[in-house]
Amino acid sequence: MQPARLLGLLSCLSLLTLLPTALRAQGLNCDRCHAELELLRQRTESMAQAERLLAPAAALRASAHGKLACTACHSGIDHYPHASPVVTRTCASCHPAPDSAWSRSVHANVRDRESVGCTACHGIHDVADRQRLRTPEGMSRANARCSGCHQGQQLSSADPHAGRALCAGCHGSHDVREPEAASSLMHPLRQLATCGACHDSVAAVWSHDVHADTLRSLIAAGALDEDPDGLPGCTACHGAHAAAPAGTGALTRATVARCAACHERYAESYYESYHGQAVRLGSRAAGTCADCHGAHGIRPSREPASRTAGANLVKTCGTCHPNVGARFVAYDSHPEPMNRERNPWVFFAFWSMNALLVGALGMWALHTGIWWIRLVLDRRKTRQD
Amino acid sequence: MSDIGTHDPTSPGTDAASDPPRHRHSVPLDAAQRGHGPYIWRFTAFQRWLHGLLMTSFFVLVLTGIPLRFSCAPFAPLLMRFWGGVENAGLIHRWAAAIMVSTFLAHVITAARALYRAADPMRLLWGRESIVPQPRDALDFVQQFRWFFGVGPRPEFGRFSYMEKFDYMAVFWGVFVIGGSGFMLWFPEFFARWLPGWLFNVATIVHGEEALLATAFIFTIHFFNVHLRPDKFPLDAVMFTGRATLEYMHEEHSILAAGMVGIEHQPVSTEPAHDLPAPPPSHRSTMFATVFGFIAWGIGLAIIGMILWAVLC
Repeated sequence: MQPARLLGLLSCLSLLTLLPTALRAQGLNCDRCHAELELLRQRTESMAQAERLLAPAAALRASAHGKLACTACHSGIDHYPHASPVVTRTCASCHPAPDSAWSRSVHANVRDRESVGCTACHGIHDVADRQRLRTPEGMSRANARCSGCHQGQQLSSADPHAGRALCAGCHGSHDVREPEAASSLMHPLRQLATCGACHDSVAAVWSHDVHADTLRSLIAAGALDEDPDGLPGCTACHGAHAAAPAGTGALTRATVARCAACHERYAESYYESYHGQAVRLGSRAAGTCADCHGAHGIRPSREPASRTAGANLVKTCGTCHPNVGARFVAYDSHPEPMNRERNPWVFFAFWSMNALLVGALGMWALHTGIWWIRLVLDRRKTRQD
Repeated sequence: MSDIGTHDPTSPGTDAASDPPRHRHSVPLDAAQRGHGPYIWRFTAFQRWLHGLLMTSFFVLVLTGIPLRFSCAPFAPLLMRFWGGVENAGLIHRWAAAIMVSTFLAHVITAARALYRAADPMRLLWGRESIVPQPRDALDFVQQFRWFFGVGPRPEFGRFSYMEKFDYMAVFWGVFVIGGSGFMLWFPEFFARWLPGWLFNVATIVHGEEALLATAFIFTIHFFNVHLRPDKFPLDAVMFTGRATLEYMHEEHSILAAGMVGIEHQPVSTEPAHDLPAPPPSHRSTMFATVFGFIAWGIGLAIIGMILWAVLC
């Protein structure tokens, strides 16, 4: 064979092999069918099936996989009609680490794997890259996929996290666990690290809080399977999906009921006081738990650094009650009327007032009751006469 | 004098000239308008104003205070919404307290002046004319119980029965105890300059419990004694119109009425003055007294319902 003819043949062969590849890389060949919904509908049995096959190259190019050809994933396809069944590479073949994390997640235990697999969250042809996930639009698209299954768990618009955080930001992405699980990022014992990743300055203050002491001692004791409901993590006070924004007063008022859930005895006496009664009915002025005890640096009253320690009370009460002295702060914010040792005068007042109440009303109720009977009897008698 | 509850205003033989004019009802709703005339002035305009202000401010104080006292009851947030929030309710509570204390002071000052000017001050301080509780009131109380059980006649009262004296003295006690503790809690920073902190704990309890006692007492015992007992039902408006028939006076204050012999021949006084014959209350004044009275006892009984709801649930 003459060299020139050989060269020509090779050129033709390479054109024949390279041209379709080049065209495929643009998705042009695939687009002839897979960008035409009407065509796909004619070749398939249902609209749903047709929509599933609809994959215009433009969508792929805008995604994180924009530089890949269709055949990078749909590796078994190189001619039409396609071989049946169509072979598609798994995501794990390129992304082994997320796949193994996912296989340990709560989603791996769901029976219908398709509904919680890679594509359920990431989409199919419109997979978002990291940068797009961090845009507000990317966040709301990603979060909408979570709330598609986890209905009613969307953040309310009042929650400061709404529109600023991914679900995965708090709950973890590929290895997401049930919030109650000890390995969950949202378990109270791990919240200091999880929430602290963004709220680092508050976390630094809170790490000196008496509640952090409790959590640390539990971690030290290895009690990681403790019932998370009773543990004072971040969400115990702030709530989870309806976290109120700080600085509006709404948070401290909402938090009172959450403090009360654990500190029952103090809640009882608080709600007997003007502070508690007014706050329960929506007062914005009356003192809440946090107004006296502080928020992230709470220490027990017996410690000198505590806001409610004897020496600091004038200052603490003084934030709302200016120019008060030692006499004023001798008020007991959590009195026990039944406890004679702790509050002798309150005990005396409580019992004498109740004795007066029952005694006076009882005497007059007797007077009134018998009077009534007397008059009724008299009327009956005169009617008979 | 006919027996209690047996009087028939249409019975023949009554003196038509001294009979009060009849309204559409055969028996007037107002117990003080039932029976034979003439009408007698019992309360001056000033006394009626004092009572009106006292009861109105009392209603406002109760309705603004009770949601705090029973803050967990389902009606508490509704009442607070009605007043426009806790802060507003607190402000209204303090204004009503100021009105009640002013009313109280107005009474104390005028009573002291009347005592100072009286030709015979002892008559106001002791005896059947006086509102001051005396040993004979204790005897009347015992006598009332003897009558209840059918072992004695019904006790006879002077200008004020022991029940009215108790109500009157209770206002003094209430204003001092509830008002005093209320002022302490209103200005804690000021009072804590002299008073120890634990006294504010005591004031909180005293204010709430004493107010509860006053509320329960007024809307059950006072209401029954004055309005709801079968011989007065449904209403006694003598405190609103200021006058009552002579027969009413004979039934309720027989010793006082016994001294009114021949009063029907005296000229009628258009000015309210104690124990003088009065013109019958106008239709307008009767209507006002009846509507005001019914609204008051309607709200009062609703408040009793709220307390029972909050205490029993």
